[in-house]
Amino acid sequence: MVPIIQCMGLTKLYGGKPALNQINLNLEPGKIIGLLGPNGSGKTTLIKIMNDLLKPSAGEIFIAGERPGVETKYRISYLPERTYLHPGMKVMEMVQYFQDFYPDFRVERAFDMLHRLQIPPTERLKNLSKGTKEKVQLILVMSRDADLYVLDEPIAGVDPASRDYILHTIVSNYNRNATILLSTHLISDVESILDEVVFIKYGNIILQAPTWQIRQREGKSIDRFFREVFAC
Amino acid sequence: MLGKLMKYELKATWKLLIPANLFMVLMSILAYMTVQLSFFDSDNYVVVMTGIIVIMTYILSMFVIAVGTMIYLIYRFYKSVYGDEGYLLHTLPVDKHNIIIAKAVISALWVSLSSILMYLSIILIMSTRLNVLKTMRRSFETYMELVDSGRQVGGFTVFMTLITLFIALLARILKITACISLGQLSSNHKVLSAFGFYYGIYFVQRFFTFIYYMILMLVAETSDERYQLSFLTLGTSWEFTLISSLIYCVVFYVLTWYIMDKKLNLE
Repeated sequence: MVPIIQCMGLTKLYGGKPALNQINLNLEPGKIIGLLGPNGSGKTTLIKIMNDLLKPSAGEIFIAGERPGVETKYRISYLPERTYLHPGMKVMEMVQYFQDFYPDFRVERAFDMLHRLQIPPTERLKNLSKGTKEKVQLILVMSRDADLYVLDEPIAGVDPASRDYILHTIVSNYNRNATILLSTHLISDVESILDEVVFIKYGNIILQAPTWQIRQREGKSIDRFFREVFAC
Repeated sequence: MLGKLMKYELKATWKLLIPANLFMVLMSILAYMTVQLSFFDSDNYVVVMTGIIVIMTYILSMFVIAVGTMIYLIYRFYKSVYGDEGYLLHTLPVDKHNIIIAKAVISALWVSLSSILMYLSIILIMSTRLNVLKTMRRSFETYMELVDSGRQVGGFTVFMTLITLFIALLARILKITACISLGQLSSNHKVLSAFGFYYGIYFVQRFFTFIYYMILMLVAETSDERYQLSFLTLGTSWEFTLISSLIYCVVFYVLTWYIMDKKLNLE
């Protein structure tokens, strides 16, 4: 089976300092994978390289066997950790925008989620709160039938009450053959939905294992284990 | 995909630029009426003052719209390509060529529209008794005399001059996109670096033009007297501007594409 993400000696230097240090990684499709690490560990850098927003300093990365480019952008549905929506546009105009560019976008799914989260489609994005904008972004991203969903801190900006709903939205709105790569440091909130975890520290992958294996081997939750591994 | 990108680029920019251009049209009509109704010849102080205010607002609006349109388009390019909105633009399944072409063409169309409106507005104000066409013809002749002295002005020359002006405008826009892109290569002071590149490239362009003129003068000096003027007018002809603008378009386009495609670093 072709890995959905394959990194070989992937390195990214910022001013000579490595943000990613010769990473080797193979992720199989059809799983929900947590990319876990503290702030500044290299999670976002790795995600940006996957999405062709950053160029690696050395090494290679393949998405379903292809280098990041136009073809991989058809396959990946990406949620960045910042607001990328045009503030002057209405929510429904953004839905139209996604429909125009992504053939796998499902309009009815987007409007259904907007309705359930009580977000008016006629509202301009600049009039929405930061948390609501993040929800709109997540709805747009999860309304695609992509092969790979890359979600960078999808719950960091929303209130705890909305987190469960968002996680439910993520789990219930993706194709079972697809992969979700979810980056976060709020592990206790996402732990229950993860099949596999990748721990990243100072630009190095220090662990990649199924969640059941860690729980069985360590006899503790992923959150507790994470806190021990990354203790200051 | 190019059509879709252009559609959204147009939609994102017209909210500001259509009202701005409509305001210029309105001010032109008011200024025209002020001149036609001889406000300045009136004995009434209020009428004269109204005329002065209208003309001043008209001149100011022309200046603000001319400079403002360009500044707005530069800001929009920077924000949508290298700012937060770039996270969406660069993850769309579209080729970088399409992104550059869509942005450059829509920007060139907006600047052309405001330039044409500005030109028509000046012609309108200058033409008394509504002889607009005559004034337009005279303005063309004066322009052609300035840039193409010694040659006859025909329909083809006028057409090619207009095409040349559009290509020269595209070259100017692509030069700015290339400078903004070059500025992104700097880890700090990206905007300042872009300005630095702009002035650096400007001086290099001036240098090339200077060398070209020097060569023309040397050739004219050594050639037969009958052909001297022909050689000298080559420096200001539409052919020269068209060829140099096309070269600059290619250079700045490739530079922008190379950085956007091979060196993109959204931080």
